[in-house]
Amino acid sequence: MVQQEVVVKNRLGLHTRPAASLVKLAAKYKSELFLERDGYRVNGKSIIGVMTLAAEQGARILLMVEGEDEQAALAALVDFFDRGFDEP
Amino acid sequence: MNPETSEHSGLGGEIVLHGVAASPGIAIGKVLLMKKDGIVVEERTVEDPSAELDRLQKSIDRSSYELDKVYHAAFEKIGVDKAKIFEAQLLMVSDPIFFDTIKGRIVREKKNADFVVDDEFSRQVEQLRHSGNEIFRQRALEIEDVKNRILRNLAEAKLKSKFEGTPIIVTSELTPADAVLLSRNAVLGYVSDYGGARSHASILSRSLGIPAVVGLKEATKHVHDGMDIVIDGYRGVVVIQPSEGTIKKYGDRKRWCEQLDSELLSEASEPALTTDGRRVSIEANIELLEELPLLRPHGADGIGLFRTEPLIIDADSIPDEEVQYQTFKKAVEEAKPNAVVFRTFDIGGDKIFVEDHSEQNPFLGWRGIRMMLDRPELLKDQFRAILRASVHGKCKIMYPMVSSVEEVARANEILEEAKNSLAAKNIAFDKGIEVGVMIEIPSAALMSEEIARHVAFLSIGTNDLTQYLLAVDRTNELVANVFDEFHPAVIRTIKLIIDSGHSAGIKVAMCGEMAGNPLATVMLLGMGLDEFSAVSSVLPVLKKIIRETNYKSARKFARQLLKMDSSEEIKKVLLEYLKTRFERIYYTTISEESLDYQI
Repeated sequence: MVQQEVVVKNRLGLHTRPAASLVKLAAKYKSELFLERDGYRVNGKSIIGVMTLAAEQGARILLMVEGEDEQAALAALVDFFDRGFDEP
Repeated sequence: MNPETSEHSGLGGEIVLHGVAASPGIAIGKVLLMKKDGIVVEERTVEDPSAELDRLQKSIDRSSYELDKVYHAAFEKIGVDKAKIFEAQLLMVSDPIFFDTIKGRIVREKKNADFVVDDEFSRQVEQLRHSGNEIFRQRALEIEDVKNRILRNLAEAKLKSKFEGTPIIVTSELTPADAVLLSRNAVLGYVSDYGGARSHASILSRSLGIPAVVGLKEATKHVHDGMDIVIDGYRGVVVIQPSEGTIKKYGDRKRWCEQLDSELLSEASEPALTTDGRRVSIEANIELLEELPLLRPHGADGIGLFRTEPLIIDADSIPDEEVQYQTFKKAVEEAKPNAVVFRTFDIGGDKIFVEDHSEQNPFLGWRGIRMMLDRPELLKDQFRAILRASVHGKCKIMYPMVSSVEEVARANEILEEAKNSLAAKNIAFDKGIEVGVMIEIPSAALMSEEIARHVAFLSIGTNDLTQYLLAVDRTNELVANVFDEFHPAVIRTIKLIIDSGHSAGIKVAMCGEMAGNPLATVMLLGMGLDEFSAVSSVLPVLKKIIRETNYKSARKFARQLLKMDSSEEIKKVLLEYLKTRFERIYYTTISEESLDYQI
């Protein structure tokens, strides 16, 4: 398993649209993905779960990926967070 | 006009309700009640969980199918950005992890699908509600929407999106999804408990030409399917179970209102020129791109107020320069050869907030140009989008919520920076683009002459001006009756602003509610107003009034009104005037009197 902490950068946080994009991105990989915030953990392939993180701008999230393509998946996810979900 | 009264006339159970006139026109027909709430979920123990799993799968499939249709209809009708909300809902109904949990519980606990769905969704919704962030609390509603859709399909109570005949829809509140689906069916009219003239469904009704009355509070409680109903979208009146006499009266009224409408429309392209040759400009307030096709038929001399905030609501975030540019370009091309006045984001107050932020006193808080000056990069992006659109047709820029000369100067500096950044990249724009200021704060009204020296036009926002002058929060029901745009102090302030603009040698417009009120037209004309900007459906009415008025007499009339010391007196004189001079317009749009009037 690989893991890395990321920060939500865009102004509106991990709201509906970035959550949808995140889930679609995660679905491209075979690995399992979990997101954890302040001890609350959700499955990264569940849009409803991701939305309940209520991760606003500045929130710190621990990404945990496990599976055969975990390295590639983690890299893609970290990049997606770093780009601020392609939002302002 | 009073949204709260309801009366029982005693004639065979006829019920008259007063609400907000959201889209003009009269419709007489049968009720189709669209219920959203009232799904009662029972907890049951089941013998055969696999039957429940089947039911659940059917409901998920049905919900996906419905959302897919809504998504595609939205995609065609309102564009990719707005459609994305439904795409996210589609992802939710097919969330594999989430539904695996539900299926697991159905099998383990031997409970009915409805109960487990409701319970699991409610947990998620609760989780979001507890977040301290307003944006995320709002997201809870989207999840709840998905839950209700699945529960409804479990109960096999299908959304009545296809129906026979041409009903009048009565509902608690039309969501954008309903509005899109309903627009594809033959609907005579809309009636809703909630919503205002500027809610999405109301705007859509106006652009589709469907009469609508909203904000009736409890219309849904008084009706059931197939009941007779009459709606008067000119005056905001709904009659449930009308007597034969009432139906006949409204039938007659419908005929002559439609005759007047078609007469007004046929001459809408004529200029607004008074009998003694004063030409004023009659322009449209635009909120959504769907309204653009109405500009020409309603005879708009351009767009006097293009609200840019709906872009944020649609996109759920502040759209970038390119998205704004594409939207502005469409408006500019449609308005050609007339100009479009783009008002920079007016966020805050009773409008939306993009950031998690709450204030004790939002109307006196961080909103309009104040917020944008604190976010100069956002303002610069918006300026660049408008400037780029200015090569496709005439554009103007307007700043909202200005309270001082310094704010105007600071915004103008940022505009210069935006111009320089485009020039540095050799991107073309209209170098002489005009800038104006909305006058809606008393301090700006008092300083309007000084402000006028920094800009090319002023535009009066009567709603906020009235609210700030009279210290009345118009959303507070306890004092809403004190809100009165015909208060002599408001009228005199409007005169002051017009005179200030004129002594600085610039034109003065009005884009608040009052500009579209036929009662005020002659008075405003007589006070010297140069441009009226209002919802486009009323423009032919304003043009008609102006074309049949003598400017010199209007000036004299305005001088008399400015001397009066009570709004009651002012309104009485204005009503009397409209009734005498423009009888048919008076009876269509204003009158609460008997409907026995015939042409």
